[in-house]
Amino acid sequence: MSNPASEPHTPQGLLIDTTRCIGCGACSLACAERNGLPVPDTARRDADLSDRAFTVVRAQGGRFVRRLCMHCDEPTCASVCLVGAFRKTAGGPVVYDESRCIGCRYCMQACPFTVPRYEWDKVLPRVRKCDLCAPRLAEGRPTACAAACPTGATRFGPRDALLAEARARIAAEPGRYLPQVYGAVEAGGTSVLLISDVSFAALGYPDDLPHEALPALTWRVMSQVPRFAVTAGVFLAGVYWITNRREEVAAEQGRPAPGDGPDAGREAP
Amino acid sequence: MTATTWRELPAAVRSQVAVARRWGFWGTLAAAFVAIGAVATVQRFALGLGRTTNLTDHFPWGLWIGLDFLGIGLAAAGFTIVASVHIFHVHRFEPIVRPALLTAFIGYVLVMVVLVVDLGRPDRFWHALFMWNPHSVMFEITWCLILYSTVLAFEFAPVALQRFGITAPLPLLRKIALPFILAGVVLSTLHQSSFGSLYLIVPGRLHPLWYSPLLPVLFFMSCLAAGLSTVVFLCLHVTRYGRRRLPVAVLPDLAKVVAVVLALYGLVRLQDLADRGVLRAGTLGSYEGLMFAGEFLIGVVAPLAVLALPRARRQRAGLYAASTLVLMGFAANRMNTVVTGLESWPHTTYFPSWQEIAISLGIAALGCTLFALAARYFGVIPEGADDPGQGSAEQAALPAGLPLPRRRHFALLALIPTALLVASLYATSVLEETAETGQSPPPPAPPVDLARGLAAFEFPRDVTFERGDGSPGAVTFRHLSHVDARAPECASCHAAGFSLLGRERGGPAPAAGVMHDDRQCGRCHDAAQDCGFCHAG
Ligand code: HEC
Ligand code: HEC
Ligand code: HEC
Repeated sequence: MSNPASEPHTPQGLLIDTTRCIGCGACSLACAERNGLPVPDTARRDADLSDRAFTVVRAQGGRFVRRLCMHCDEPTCASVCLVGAFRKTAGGPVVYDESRCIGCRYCMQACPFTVPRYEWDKVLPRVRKCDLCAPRLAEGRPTACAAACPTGATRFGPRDALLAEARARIAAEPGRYLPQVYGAVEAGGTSVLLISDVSFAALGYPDDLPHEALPALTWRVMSQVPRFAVTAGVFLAGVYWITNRREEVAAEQGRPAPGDGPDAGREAP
Repeated sequence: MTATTWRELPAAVRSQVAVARRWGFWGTLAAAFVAIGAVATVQRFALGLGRTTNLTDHFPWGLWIGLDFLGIGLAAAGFTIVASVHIFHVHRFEPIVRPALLTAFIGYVLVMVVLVVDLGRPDRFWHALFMWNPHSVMFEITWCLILYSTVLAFEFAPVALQRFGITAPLPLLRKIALPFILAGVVLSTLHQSSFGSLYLIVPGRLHPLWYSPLLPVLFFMSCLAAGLSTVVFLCLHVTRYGRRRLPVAVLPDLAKVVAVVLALYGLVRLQDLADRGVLRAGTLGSYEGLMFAGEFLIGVVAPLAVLALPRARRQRAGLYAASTLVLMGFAANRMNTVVTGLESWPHTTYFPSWQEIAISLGIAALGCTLFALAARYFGVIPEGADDPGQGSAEQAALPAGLPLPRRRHFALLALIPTALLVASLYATSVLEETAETGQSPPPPAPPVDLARGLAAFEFPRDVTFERGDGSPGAVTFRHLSHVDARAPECASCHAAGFSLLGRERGGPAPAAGVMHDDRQCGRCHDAAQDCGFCHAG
């Protein structure tokens, strides 16, 4: 795990320009080398991410397009993980601490980009995914994939600068690009940005993601839990007190207990 | 079992085994399920999840998670009945507090067992206690499960203690009971709805027929109906054989509550779907639409139709039918949320492996067995103790209005789930077939326009190797001489041993002879000739 002290302090990221990708696969080869993964078959154009491939280049929608962890600004995986095995670092990478993971796979179920992969063949498996080369970033070097890319289709830099560059490229050649930087706002913004001349849906990226960070959807409910617990507790205690008192009074007066209807046992959900 | 070992067993175990022996068909069946489940469990732990389940990267949660959802929902009676009796003082339901508590306790313990079986790292389940992430719904659920199980243990403790003849702590337990009861109800409300909240974060992945911002509310309402139906069902079942008596007369009342809750749930569900514009012909005609229709008709419309008839509410057959329908519809709803609703994106199909099914059935059978044994052992359902001498227990338990059902009613009831199972199996196999035929041959990748990429192509920089011992001169490798800029290709060297990253930190000189050999430069060059061709520096 990278030393937090030497992590870059401005969020870094990647800009992927699908119009520049020639499908050479150098990014996936470099990724495999950096992560000690088996050498990928770069001739395959339909490869999927796996526990042995943290990035792949696919031919889809008439373009070569990379697939990798998007490194969300507010990661869903980090939000759902009950033991806090995922963490968004200040420098951009969303990193995974395998020593905490208990293998519930909620991250895999919840990731809006279906990125995390599991070591299904192992008896004691880990979740595997791209870590944006966090240790390399800590040494001030770019990600392996960006270092290997011969066309600048994958570019590394501070996210702000990349976003500005993406917008500049689009503005300079409006006919060449769709007027959208994917990842600028999708799922609340991601460290990995894409620009393209074909729709992102055609490239296999989900195009219906909310522009709000997904963890907010749960947090809106979760943050109410303490207040709800207290309110419900007080309410129920109140009900108990009232019904109990009614019974005591009834007993004193020698009447049968009131409120003994079948619907009395409901409370508002 | 030989006679000697039989006698050596403690009396308690012996009496239970004796009970199990009396069980006959159902007992044997349960034992078989548990045994097969045990074999599957051993396999799961020995071989890992990948080899024993049909879970995949695209479908990481399957039958077991569905089973957890089911178990928790069915155990909801524990808190609803406790709340009605102890907080709202509806004393009429008092006799079913114990069965409800027992159902809940067994349900929760088994759900935790299933959760551990499902964990990729079961050896680390305890991390959940010490590593906190309060943003995770799973975190809240875990803590609610643990705390509520503790509460249930406390609530059930008096029953167990009485059975063992320990009465000393009873007054104390009674005194501290109220906070536990309140905590139990609050905790249950929280986590029952949180099971729905688990999916709030997947708006893009879960089909809109099941994804809703109201998921927590819907989950809570449906678990109320399902939990109460479980109690109705179990009470009817346990009293069928006559030895146990329960004031079955409360069941029609319970059924009325079920009807009210169910009707409310149905309204909220439909209203929510309509508000979000999901109730369109296109959606309803799809596979998901059919599954939704099935779930809703079986679990809401049909039981409401049955319960709407006062006559049916007062008959065992009617109650049986209604509660069974509610439970089936509930199961369908949870399974649809966990499986059907998640099959469309990313496009995938899932059908559990035999181990997943066997472990699920085994756990379910274990639950039923535990309930039956515990119900008898702890006297959860009184055996005519409170009003002796009233003739046979069966007669005392059943008011005249509750005639026994006929055999064919059961046959009919059994038909419905069987038909459903067959239908869903068929649907899955058809889907899988189309998915397979749709995948092979893989769709030919459309021609990719490379012009812009090639225009941007730059040769990677030259690499000057560090000189090894006795090297005749520095060698510079130029991509310019090796890569065709019109059709760049990298794998022939970089997938075959040449490092892309090795030179970054000016790594050590290559080991003697390595660069010459026929796996590296020597693959294409004749290193024995013209040393200066390479050693030019
Ligand atoms: C003929 C073989 C060959 C081919 C084809 C080839 N390379 Fe290389 N490449 C090398 C060798 C040899 C090295 C240096 C290896 C070492 O450092 O041990 C190298 C190093 C590199 C480096 C690291 C440079 C540095 O400064 O550290 C990059 C980046 C690179 N290659 C990219 C590519 C790309 C992209 C392609 C395809 C367009 C490609 N190479 C094709 C042989 C090749
Ligand atoms: C895939 C086959 C292949 C491999 C592997 C390969 N080369 Fe070459 N190399 C060529 C070809 C083809 C040429 C161009 C034909 C020629 O000039 O003989 C060439 C040319 C050269 C040249 C002359 C042009 C120049 O750039 O000065 C040098 C030097 C050279 N290679 C060095 C190396 C070294 C060092 C290695 C190992 C690190 C290496 N080559 C590995 C195929 C290969
Ligand atoms: C195809 C290119 C190529 C040719 C031809 C070549 N070498 Fe090398 N040789 C290398 C490279 C690359 C290295 C590693 C860098 C270094 O040590 O300078 C190397 C290293 C060496 C070394 C250092 C120790 C070792 O083995 O790694 C010696 C000695 C050597 N070469 C001798 C020779 C002689 C003698 C010839 C001519 C008969 C020759 N080489 C021809 C590429 C070549």
